[in-house]
Amino acid sequence: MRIEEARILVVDDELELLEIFAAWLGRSGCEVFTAPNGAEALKTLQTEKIDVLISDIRMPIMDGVTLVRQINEKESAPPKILFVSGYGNLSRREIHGLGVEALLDKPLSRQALLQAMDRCLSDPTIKWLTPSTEPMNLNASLDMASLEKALATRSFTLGRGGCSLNCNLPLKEGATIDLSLRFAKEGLSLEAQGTVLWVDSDQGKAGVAFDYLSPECREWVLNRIEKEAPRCFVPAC
Amino acid sequence: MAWEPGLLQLHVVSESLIALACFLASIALLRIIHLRQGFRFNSILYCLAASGVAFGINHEMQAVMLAYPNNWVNVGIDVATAAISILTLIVLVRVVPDVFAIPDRIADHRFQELMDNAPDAIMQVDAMGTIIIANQTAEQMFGYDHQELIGCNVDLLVPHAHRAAHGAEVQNFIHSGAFRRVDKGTLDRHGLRKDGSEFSVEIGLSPVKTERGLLVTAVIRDVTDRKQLEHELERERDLRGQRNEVLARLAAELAHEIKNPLAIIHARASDLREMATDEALLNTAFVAQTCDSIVKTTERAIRVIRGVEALAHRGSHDPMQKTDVHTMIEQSVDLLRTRYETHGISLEVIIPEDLPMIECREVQIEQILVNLLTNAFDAIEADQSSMRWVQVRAAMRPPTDEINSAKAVQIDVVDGGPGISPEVRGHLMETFFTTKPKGAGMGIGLSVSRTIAEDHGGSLVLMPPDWPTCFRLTLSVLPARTEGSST
Repeated sequence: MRIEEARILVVDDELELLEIFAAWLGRSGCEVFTAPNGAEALKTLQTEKIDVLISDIRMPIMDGVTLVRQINEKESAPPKILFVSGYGNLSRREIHGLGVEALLDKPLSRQALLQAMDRCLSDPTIKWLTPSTEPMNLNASLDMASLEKALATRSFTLGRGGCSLNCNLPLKEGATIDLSLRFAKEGLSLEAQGTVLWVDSDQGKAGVAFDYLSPECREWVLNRIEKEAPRCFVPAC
Repeated sequence: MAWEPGLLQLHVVSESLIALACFLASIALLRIIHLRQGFRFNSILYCLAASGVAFGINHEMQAVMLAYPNNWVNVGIDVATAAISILTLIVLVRVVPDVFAIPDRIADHRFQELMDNAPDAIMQVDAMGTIIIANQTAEQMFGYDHQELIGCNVDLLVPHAHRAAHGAEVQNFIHSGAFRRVDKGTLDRHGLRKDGSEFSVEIGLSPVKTERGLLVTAVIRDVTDRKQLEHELERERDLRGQRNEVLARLAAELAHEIKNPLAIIHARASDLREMATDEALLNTAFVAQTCDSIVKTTERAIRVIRGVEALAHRGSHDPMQKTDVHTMIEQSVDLLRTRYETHGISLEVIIPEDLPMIECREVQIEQILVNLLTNAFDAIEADQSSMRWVQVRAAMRPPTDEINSAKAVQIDVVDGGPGISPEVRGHLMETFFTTKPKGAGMGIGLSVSRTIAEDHGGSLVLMPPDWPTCFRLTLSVLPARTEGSST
């Protein structure tokens, strides 16, 4: 979907920011709705079809996290969700596990907002087509016995936008990564470029958002995601 | 050889005097035996007395012989004297080791002094637990006389609740520990004084094998003061930890509160920059409006920072002082009374006469009260349906509260405003959470008030039910240091 066709709901208790975001998005041609808190946003969602929800996290009456939980419970076709927050100590693992596509830090530029919008509006079948020409920061190559077993034991799980996996490599949040996984039993492999969203070194787990999937693995990965239709963007476990 | 008459007289007199001295010495010895019954060395005294008599007769015979010479009698007495002398020698030889074993009174005295001056109580008990030795420190520590302590069972000094465990421990020590001599190290225990009070002690036990069987030496230290100090240090550490936690939270939330204005300023400035790329787009009215917004928002950010700075300093370095609750509440109420009166809101203060003084930083507690009263005022003003009254009620915390049994004063600030919804209740104490319009309040008051209350070892909570709104500030009365009853 192109950005000018999108219907967007912006939620923030900071009314001046709400006004600024609405103006920015309006200039790009989207249809913009606003709400000052989560409760009002839920009301709008009941009456309007919304493609992208851009929400603050800390708000009176109903905060962003509660709003997303309510949406996950109530909405059968939930919008893509972006968080915009100045609140630094919320766990990205939890946020992406809830299904939020991205967490943008305040202050942010119009360009950054539009880029994030663009990413979450693009169709998964085309958004992972182009590899980055930049060298990746990290490189992880793992052999697993079986995909089904890995999924069952949650040592590898897929979300709408990436995966979480057991990995004892020294990964760093925010780093780009070349991911190479091989599943012996099924004879499948996953070759991807991604961004490390979170690392839990105690549990030896990490969450990675996909940026590119190699043509060999794209089909089975997309099929798998479509089949399981996970709500999470990147699974929290 | 012939005796000159003078020489003869001298001989008779001296022999008689020697004999007399020997008899008298014997009598003296017999008298000692008679007076010191049970004296361990009576056998040698009897022998010496017998020797004295024998020597006395022997010497007397020397004088008598001159007048009535009789060799049979003379030799007979010699034989008897010799026999008694030999017997005395034998007894003496046998008694010597025992004599060496007699304690040196001076050394004994010095040892006793050393014991008595020891800073710790030192006691020796036998396998049955009977106290055999106790130094003066032990007497003073437990409040007993020497006579009361010696011969008593050591259970006397152990609190009733701990006696069974103590008995088992002693038996265990005697039957296993002592023989394996794994006897060092100290134990944390409780002591019981004669007056019934208990105190914390540290006990070191060591076994001693003696002719009376196995004895246990116990060195006991009163650690009441140390425990008290440890307790205070721990509390201090807890408070510091709490303070750091609050500070970290405050810092994170301050960052959040500053980032919103920054986001606005950033967005406004980048809009201006975008406009500046094309002269055709330039709209002076928009530029003016945007710049106004930037100025206004910057001022808002500065207000937040100033507010936090002020909170960080006000009263936090004052020493804790005994404070009269009544005066403190009246002073806080006076600050707001005019404001309440001009808006037609009644402000009632209910304080019982007999409230104790509390230890606190008065300025900080007044800050909490002013904050609560301001919130109550704002809540009433913000809603048409409000009942226009506020009450400040102080009372002792009911003693039934078992969670924290220390004496404490409760101060309730109750208002007839619209009440607080369950959604808001959950967030109420968070820093920067506010229900007031942006700019009217920063949302710092309640969380800082709570921090201050907790810093005082108290609490600030919103009481159920939803209406009327009641905030309860609980502050403990001076933490009483009762005499030696710490456990």
